[in-house]
Amino acid sequence: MTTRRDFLKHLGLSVAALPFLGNLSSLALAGTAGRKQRLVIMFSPNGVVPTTFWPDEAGALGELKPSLAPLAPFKDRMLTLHGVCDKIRGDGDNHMRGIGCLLTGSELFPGNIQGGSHTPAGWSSGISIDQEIARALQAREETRTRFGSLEFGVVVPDRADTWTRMCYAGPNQPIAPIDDPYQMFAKLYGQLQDRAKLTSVLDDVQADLAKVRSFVSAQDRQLLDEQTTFVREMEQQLSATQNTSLNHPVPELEPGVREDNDNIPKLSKMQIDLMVHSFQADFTRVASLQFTNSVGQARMKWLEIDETHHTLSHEPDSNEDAQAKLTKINAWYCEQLAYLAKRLAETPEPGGEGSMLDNTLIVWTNELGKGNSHTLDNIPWVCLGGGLNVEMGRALKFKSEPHNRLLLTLAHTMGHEIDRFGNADYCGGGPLVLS
Amino acid sequence: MLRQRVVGDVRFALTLMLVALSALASSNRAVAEDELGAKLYQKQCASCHGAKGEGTADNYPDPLFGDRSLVELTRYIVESMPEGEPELCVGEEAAAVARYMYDAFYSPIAQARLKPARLQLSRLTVRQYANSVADLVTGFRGENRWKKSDGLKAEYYKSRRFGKEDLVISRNDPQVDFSYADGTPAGPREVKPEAPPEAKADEKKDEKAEDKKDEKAEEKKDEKPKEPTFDNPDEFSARWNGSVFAPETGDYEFIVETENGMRLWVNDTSTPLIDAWVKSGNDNRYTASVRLLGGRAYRLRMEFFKFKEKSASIRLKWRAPHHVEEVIPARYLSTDWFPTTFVVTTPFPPDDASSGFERGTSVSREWDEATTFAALETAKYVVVNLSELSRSKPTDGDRKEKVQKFCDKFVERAFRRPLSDTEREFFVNRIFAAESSPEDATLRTVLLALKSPRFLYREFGQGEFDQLDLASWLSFTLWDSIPDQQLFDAATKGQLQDRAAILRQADRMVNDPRAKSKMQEFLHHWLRVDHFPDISKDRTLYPEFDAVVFSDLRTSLDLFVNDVVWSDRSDFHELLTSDVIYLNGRLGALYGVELDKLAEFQPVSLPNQRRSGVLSHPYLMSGFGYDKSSSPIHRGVFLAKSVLGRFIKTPPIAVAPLAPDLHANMTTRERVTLQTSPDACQSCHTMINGLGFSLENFDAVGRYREQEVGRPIDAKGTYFTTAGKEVELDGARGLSEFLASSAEPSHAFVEQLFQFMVKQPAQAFSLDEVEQLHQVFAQQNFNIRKLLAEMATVTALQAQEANAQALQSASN
Repeated sequence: MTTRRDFLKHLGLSVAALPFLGNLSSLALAGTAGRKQRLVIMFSPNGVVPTTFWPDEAGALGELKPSLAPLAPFKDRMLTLHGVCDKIRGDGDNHMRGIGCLLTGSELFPGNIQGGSHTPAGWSSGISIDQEIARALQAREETRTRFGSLEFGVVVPDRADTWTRMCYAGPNQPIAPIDDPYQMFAKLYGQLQDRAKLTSVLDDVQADLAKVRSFVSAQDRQLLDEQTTFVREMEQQLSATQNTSLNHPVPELEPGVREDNDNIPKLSKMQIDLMVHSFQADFTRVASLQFTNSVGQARMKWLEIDETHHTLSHEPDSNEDAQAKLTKINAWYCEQLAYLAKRLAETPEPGGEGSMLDNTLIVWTNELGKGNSHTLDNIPWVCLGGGLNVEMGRALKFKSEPHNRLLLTLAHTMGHEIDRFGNADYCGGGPLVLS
Repeated sequence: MLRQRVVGDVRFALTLMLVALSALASSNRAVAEDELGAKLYQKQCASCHGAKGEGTADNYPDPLFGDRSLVELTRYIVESMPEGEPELCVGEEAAAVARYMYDAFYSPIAQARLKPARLQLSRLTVRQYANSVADLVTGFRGENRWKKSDGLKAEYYKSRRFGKEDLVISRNDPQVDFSYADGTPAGPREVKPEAPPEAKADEKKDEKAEDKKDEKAEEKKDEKPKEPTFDNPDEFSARWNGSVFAPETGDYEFIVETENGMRLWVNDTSTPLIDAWVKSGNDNRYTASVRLLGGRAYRLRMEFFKFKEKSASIRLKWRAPHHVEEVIPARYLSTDWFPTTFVVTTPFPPDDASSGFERGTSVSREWDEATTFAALETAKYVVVNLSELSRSKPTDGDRKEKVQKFCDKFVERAFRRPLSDTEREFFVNRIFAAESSPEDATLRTVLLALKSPRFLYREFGQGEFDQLDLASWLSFTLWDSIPDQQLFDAATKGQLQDRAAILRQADRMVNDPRAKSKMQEFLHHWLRVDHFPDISKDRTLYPEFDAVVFSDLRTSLDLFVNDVVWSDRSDFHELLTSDVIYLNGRLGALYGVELDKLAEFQPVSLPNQRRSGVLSHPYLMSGFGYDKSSSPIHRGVFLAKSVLGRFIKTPPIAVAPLAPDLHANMTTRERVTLQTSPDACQSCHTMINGLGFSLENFDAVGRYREQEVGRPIDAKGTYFTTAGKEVELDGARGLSEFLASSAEPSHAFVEQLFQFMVKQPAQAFSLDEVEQLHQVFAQQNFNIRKLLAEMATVTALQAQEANAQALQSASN
C-alpha cells in the first residue's frame, strides 16, 4: 500500500511541507478501498413550527411544508426524522440542555449559569459526536486530515457560556466556533499567504544585506555573508513549496464584511463557501455550522421581520403572524442548507467519483422541538446527501427514541462503530436504524 | 582575623612545594625545547618562511598555518624539510622545531592568540532581540515605570453586573486570597489568610464582635466609608484592576482557584488569559501560561462573581520562573496603569556563550530562521493592532497616510536612526505605493525592517560612528534594548557631544528598570545561580527544607542583592560583608530567627551567625551542596572562579564524592581532604578546598552550625593571592574581611560585569581596560551603579575612537 507519506517521498518533498500541499487525497486513496466520507452538522435555534415543518405522513416524501420548501431540489436525497427526543435531564434550562446535550448526549455539570428557570448549570459533561468522530478519523492514516474538524459559526455572540457552545472536545471543554470568515480564512490559508509575503520580502532583504555589507570592515563581512546564504536558502525553500499549489485557487473573500446582524446572509454564504473549499482541499472531513446560538436573537430584517427570533418563538400558537414569521425564519435557515447542498452537488469529488455531496452527510438540527413549549421532544432532524448508505427521499417517524441512538448512527455511518455514546442509559438498542 | 601565614600546615606546605617543583620542572623542559626549536627555526626555516612564519615574497609567500596535528607536522618536517635537504632536520630537532612552530603560529589556537582582539560586528542577542521588539512596539502606546507596590484596585458589587449603583466596597487589596464561606465580602465569615493569626482566633470566639471589628477595619480602608450592604449572599461580584511585575524573563503560569465564576486578563485587554466565567462541575482551579519579559509590569484585570453556589472564595496565584506556586505577593502588584507589552514568543536558539558570556558574534541557520518567524509574528501583531498603534480607523479618509507615517516611525525606531531619503523609499514609500491595502503594506514594511541588518546588527556605523551609534551603544550596554525616545532625541539633537553629556544620559539610564533587570541577570550569572537545578535535600536530615523554602531563598537572595545595588551607596563590598539576610516567617523558623509565622520578607541582621552577604547566603550554600552534606569543593570553586576570578582547569579525572554514610565518623572537611589528597588533585584543590573550608559553619541548607558529627567545626581556610601571599581565613567572617581588603574580588567583578554588559573582549578597547575601570571603581568607593554608567560611557567613546582610527587607516 502506498501511503501519502511514501508518495511525498517519491516527489522528494518533506513531511514538513504537508500542510501546504492541499488535496492529495486522491493519491492517498489510490491504495485503499473505501470512499471518502464527510459529516456536516448545521444548527439553527429556537425550535420550529411543527405544522409548517414536519411532513404529515411517514413514507416517501410528498410536497415539502413551507419551512422545508427550499430543499425541493434535494427531496430525493433527504430524510426527515420525527420522534427523536433529547431525553437528557439534570441541571440547566431547556435551552441550555438543548444545545449542550444535543451533540454530547451527556448531562450538564452543575454550575453558576442561570437560565430562565430550572437550576443553574455549567458545561456539558461529555464530548460531542462530531469531535468523537473526528478523533476516530484522525487516528487512522487513511482518514487523517490537516484539521480533523472545523467549527464554523455565523454571528455567535462574543461570550463563552452554555448557550453559545455546541461542540465539546471533552467534559468541560467547549469549543468556540469561528464566526469570523476572515479568521477562518487565516486558519485555512494563512500559512500559504505568509509564505507568499515572506518570499516577496526576502529578495529585498538580500539587496539590503548587500548594501550594508559595504559599510562594514572586511573582517566583519563574513557574518553578513553567512546570513545572506541562509536568507537565499530560505527563499529557495519557500518558493519550492509554493509551486506545489492547491487543487483550487485560494478563495477571495469580499473585504470588510463586519460581523453584525444585518450581514448574516453575507456571512453565511462566506462561511459555507469556505467550508466547501476546505472539503475540496481535504483539510477536514467533519464540520459544523452554528447559526447564532441557543436562544439566538437574529433579527431577519432582510425578510422584513423586525422582531428578534427568540422573542418571536415564545409567541403562542394562536399568534398566526408570529407563526408565519417563524416559518419564514426557519425556511431561511433551510435555504442555507440548500445552498450548502447545492455547492457540494456542483463540485466534483476531487480524485473520486460523482459530486462531493455524494460523499457528504449533512445533518440539520435545533436545540428545541418547538419554541413556545420549550420541549426537547421531537427535535428537528433533517439528513441530506449521500453519506448514509440508505434509501433517501423519505419521512421517518419514531416512537420517542432517545437521540443518543441517532448520535450512534452518525458514528457508525462514519465508520466509527461504538456501542454507547454520552449517557449509556439512552443507548439501549444501539444505533437507530434508518433503513 | 587576617594575618600573614608564618608557619604553615606541614602537609599543605609539602604538597604545595611538590606541585611547585613539578610545575617548574615541566615548564623548564618546555622552555628549553622551545628555545632549541626557535633557534633551529631561525637558522633553517626563516629565510624562506619568514621570521614568524609569515612567508617571504621571493621564496615561499604563503603564511604557515593549518590544522595538521603536531605529530603530522613533525613527520612532514622529518620527511620534507628543509626543501631538498630533509636530512638536516630530523629526530629531536625536528620535534623541537615542530613544537615551536605549532605553538608560535601554526596551530589554529596560535592563530587566534596572534590575532589582536578587536570589536566584532555583533547581531542582537536573544535577550536584546526580545527587549528591542517589545520596546519598539510598546513605545507607540506610551510608557510607564514601576514605582510602587500598592496592590490591586478592588471593587465589590452586590449583583452579577458591574453597575455603579450596585457598588458596595471600593478599596485596594494587597493580594487576592479571600474565602467568604457562605457569606459575602467583608462579612463575618470572610477569611483573609494573610491576616495575622490572632484575628482568626478571635473570630472563632465571637463572631459578632469580629463582625463589628471587620466593618470598622473596612471603613478605615475606604476613603468614603460606605455601609457594606450586600443584599444577598447568593449573588455578588468583584473586579480587580492594576498591574503585575515580572521579576525575571520566562513563562509565568497564572493560577486562579475559585468555586465560582471568574475571568483573568494579563497583558491583553481584549482576550482573557483564563475564562472560567461559567462554573461547571467540580472544576475549581484554572491555569494558563504567558511569556513575560523580566523587569517590566503588565496590565492585569480579574472579574469574579458568585451565583447560588454554596460558598465563595478566590485566590490569584502564579508560578514564576524558578519559584513555586504561590499567591501573587503584594510586592509584585500595583494599581498603576501599564501599556500592553508585545512579547515575542518565537523560540530562538541560544546565543554563543563559549567565551563565558553570551554574545552575538556568530550567526546560524536556526537563528536566521528564528528572526524570520519572529519578524512575521511581530508584523502580524502590528497589523492586528494597527488602528491603535497608528492612531487611525479603517474608515478614516487619511488612513493610508496615517499608517504610512506610523511605518516610517517604526522603521526609524527599529534602525535607531532617522531614515535617509533612499532608505525611506526602500523600506516604506515604495511598498505603500505598490500595495493597495495599508495592512498589507504594513506587514511587508515591518517584515523587511525586522529582517534588515540595520535592525538585527549592533552599531556597524555607516562611515562615522555618530551620536546615534553612541546612543545605541549606551542602551544596548545598559538595557539590552533600543534607545528610548529621550535618548534618541538627545542624539538627533547632537546633545551627546562630550563625555559629561554621555555620562548624564548613562546615569539616568542606570536607574531605569531595564538596567535593573539586566543587572539582576548579571548578578545571577556572577553568583552562578542562573542555572541552579531544582535542589532537594535529604528528608530525614532536613525535613523542613522543601521546594517552597528553596523558592523563598531565591527571593531572599534577590531582595538582598537588589537592595544593596540600588541603595544610595551601591557598595560592592556590602554584597560580600553584610550580616543582613532577608527572611519571611517560613525561613525565620528554619534559620533560627523568631518571626511571626506569616511574616513577610524583611531584612534581619544576624551578627551571631557570622554571616557575610552573598557568600554565606543559604540559597548559595544549599545550591553549592549535596543533599546530606555541605560541599566545600563547590563552594570553593565558586569563590575561586566567580568571586576571585581565578582560572581553574577541569578536573583531570572524574571522581564521585565519598559517601558520608561510609565515613560516619569523619567531618565533611576530613572527607574532602581525604578524597582530594592525590597529587593530581592538589594543584587545584589546595586553592579550592582552602577557600571552601572557610564556609564550613554552614550546613547543606546554609544553617549556621558549630558542630558536625559531635565535633567542633573547623572553618579555617587558606588562600594564596595572585601576588603570592598566603593568607589564613578564619571562617566566613575571615573570608569576607580578606575579600573586602583585597583588590582581587572587585577586579574580578569588573571583568565579569564588563563581559556581560559590553559583550566584547575587554582587550579590544585597551590592553588595561579592566585595570582602568577598576581604578575608577575604587576611587568611587566601589559604587556599582557609578561603575555601570562609567563603563557604558567609556566604552562608547572608545568604540567611537576605534571607528575613527579604522576610517583613517582605510583612507590612508
